[in-house]
Amino acid sequence: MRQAAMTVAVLVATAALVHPAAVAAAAVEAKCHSPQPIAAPPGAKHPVVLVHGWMGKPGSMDAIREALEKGGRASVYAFDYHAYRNNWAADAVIADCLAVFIDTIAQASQRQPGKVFVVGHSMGGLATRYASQLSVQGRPVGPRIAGLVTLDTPHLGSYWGGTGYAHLLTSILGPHSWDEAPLPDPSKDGVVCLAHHDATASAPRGDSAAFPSQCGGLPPYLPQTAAVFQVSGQVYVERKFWGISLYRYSLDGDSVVDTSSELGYIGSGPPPANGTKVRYGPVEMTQVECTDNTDKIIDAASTLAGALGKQILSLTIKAVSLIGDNMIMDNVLSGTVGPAYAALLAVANFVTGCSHSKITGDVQTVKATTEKLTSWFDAIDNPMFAYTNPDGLTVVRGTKTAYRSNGEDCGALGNFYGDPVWTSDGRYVTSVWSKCEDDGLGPPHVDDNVLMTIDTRTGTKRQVTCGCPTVAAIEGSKVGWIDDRGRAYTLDLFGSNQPAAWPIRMPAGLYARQVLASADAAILVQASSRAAGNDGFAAQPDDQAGAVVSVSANGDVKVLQRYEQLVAATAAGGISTASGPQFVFGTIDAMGDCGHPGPVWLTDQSGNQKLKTDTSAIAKGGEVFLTDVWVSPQGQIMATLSSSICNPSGGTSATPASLWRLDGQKWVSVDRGPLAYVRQLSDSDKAVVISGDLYVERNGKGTRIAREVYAIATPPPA
Amino acid sequence: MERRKKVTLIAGGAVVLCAALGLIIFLTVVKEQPDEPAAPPLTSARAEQLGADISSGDTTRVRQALAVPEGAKLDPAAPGALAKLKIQLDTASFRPIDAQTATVSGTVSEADGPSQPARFTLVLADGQWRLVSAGPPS
Repeated sequence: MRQAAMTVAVLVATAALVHPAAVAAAAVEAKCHSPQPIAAPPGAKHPVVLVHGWMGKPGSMDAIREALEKGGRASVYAFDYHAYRNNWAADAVIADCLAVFIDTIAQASQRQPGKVFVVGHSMGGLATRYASQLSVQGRPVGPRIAGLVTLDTPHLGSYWGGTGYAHLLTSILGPHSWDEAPLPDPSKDGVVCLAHHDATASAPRGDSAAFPSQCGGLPPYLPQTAAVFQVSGQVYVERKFWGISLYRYSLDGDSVVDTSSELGYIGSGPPPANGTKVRYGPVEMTQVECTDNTDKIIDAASTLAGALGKQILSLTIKAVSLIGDNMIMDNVLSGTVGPAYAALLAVANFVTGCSHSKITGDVQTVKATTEKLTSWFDAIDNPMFAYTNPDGLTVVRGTKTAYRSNGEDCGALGNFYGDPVWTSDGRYVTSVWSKCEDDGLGPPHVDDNVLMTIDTRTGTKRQVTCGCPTVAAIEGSKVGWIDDRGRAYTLDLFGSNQPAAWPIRMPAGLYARQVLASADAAILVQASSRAAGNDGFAAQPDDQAGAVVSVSANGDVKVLQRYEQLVAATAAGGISTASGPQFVFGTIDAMGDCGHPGPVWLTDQSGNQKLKTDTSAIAKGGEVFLTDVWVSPQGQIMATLSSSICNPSGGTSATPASLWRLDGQKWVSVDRGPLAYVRQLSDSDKAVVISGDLYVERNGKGTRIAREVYAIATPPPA
Repeated sequence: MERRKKVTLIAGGAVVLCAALGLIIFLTVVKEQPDEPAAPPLTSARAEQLGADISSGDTTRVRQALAVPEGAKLDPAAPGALAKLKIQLDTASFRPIDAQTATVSGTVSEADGPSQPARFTLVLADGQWRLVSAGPPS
């Protein structure tokens, strides 16, 4: 009964499709019926949709289905569009129906809001991209896609697209193919739109041309919340003679899609509108390699010659004697496929294990796909975050400690440790930590500080002397800091790199002192009006005049606020937006009986203008203190804020530390607390720090996992 | 209908294969003009020369005999390994596929081992037949 209801839901939902090209919904509805009723994903399993390639069938992805089902964590669905072999991926009968398919499964999921993973072979990856820009009954489909694995997807087209080859095929085989289904009409979009192309007509490459106008526009990027994993088949050919190896070369791709197209997701989508930046989530890739020898290829050509004529064998023999690395490179560079090369590609596609036609059954590919999906499942089931406390820097998965870098305990000297900072790629986490040195001059010096780093893929820990009070993520796996003498450095945590000088120009009379926040390679810097002496800023007399300065990715600087006395930045956060980076920051501007915080500032996307946010709901007659600021997975600016009324006893709380969301320029209450730090880890989990105790709450039930916690942070959305 | 059955044999491959085959056939049809010259015979002298070159241990002679393309870097161990082979081509079994490719039967013996029947494919390059592959008869 449930299944029947779901089938009906597909049809009903289809009627409400919203398509940018205003496709007639009624026409779609008639064709969108899935042959299999869609059952709700059982229990806590993750729904995975398999989307076959052009003229393929769902059965071609059975090896992946079986591996996922064997793993026990996925509920697998196959989207079937094999009846529409004349159609292009963007057409309503494919993209719109896939959108409905994904939405229906997401709606049925017991996890809400439901998320769906997709594995797309070849054109199936493009169909998913087109489906992601649609809405079903007002529900955008893109945010329902948690991750997409593309298997040999021709993000930039294929040698074999275009009309010429298809015309010939029809003339040779007649109107029907081997399975009695009609052959694609060469004039139809399914053939035309697969042609090799460049995403930018202004930068053509070889045979490439602008994307055909009737193809629905370039395939859109998935939303930033969706990860993409590109799998690229790499076919190698080994020339042999009586079993003796003579030489080996690459066919630069899977024999149908060249490498640059298989791995071409970035750069294949629509160019950004003026003044905006292309946004996409994390993109990873892998290559699977396989080799076949020329004896096998010639044998296969002999077999094919028996069915289709001796020319195939003749061309293949010529190919073997003609083709080496030079010719492959010539073809790649010119973007053309000569007849002998074409023969070799065609036969290799027929026989080689990781070729375009066979990659969905290739053992390496199935393994890479299932491992990636499993890692994505883990990120949802056991989300990761990090915290700092006197024990050190700790990475948590779910409620369990995954890795810890123990901080040095300076005992009576006192410790210094900072916020955990994740690299933009989400792989590394780092934090500033003090090194103990009892020189009789008081607490450990900033110039002895180290960065503690953890590689969350391998668990590898590393310490790097930075002499810095703070650290910020710059881009990828790169972090940056300013040391106690005002010298700036970056360090790529991938590998065993050493710090490199980071040229940051400051306005005249200001000296970079520490990085407060970063977003999209732009940074927010606290600057001092006095240069660091030989003993560093920390040893300066009490001169705290300075400024908060924004530095754009291209080095442009802007003084946002000057201070006669800048005691401290209370918190600062960077936000990546489609229009550019924004920053939120708060400061303590003066000291008296209490620290007196100033306004909570928000910059515009240019980083040049600051706007005073409306904290009236928090103030209640007191001064508002910004403890923490971050961006939720939904892209909202969140903060923990409190207020107190200053008096000689140190102040009276007006509003306890609580959770707020920035709505326009006004802060609105989300959780009245009390809480100091909070991060939403998943739809059901969040990490909360209350009075120094760290809890992971799952469905409202909390488990305390640490004490004396200073700060927490989650990796960027994956 | 018979043709359809034959085509069914290759149906396991992707459609792209068929597109490629279409291309191949087209290009071949275009290239094969009715007045295309017939394949020259494989002479006994040329057959003996091929056998001698391939077993010579000399890289240049091996490359010539095997029609190794310019861009391909021959495995340094290959000439030595090929030198252990003794190849005999049976010119009477020479069968052109078209004007530029052919098959021929023969034998291969390794070191002092017994001779084994073999099937060779050849390509006509620069006016001379050269070896492309060698394997057991199918």
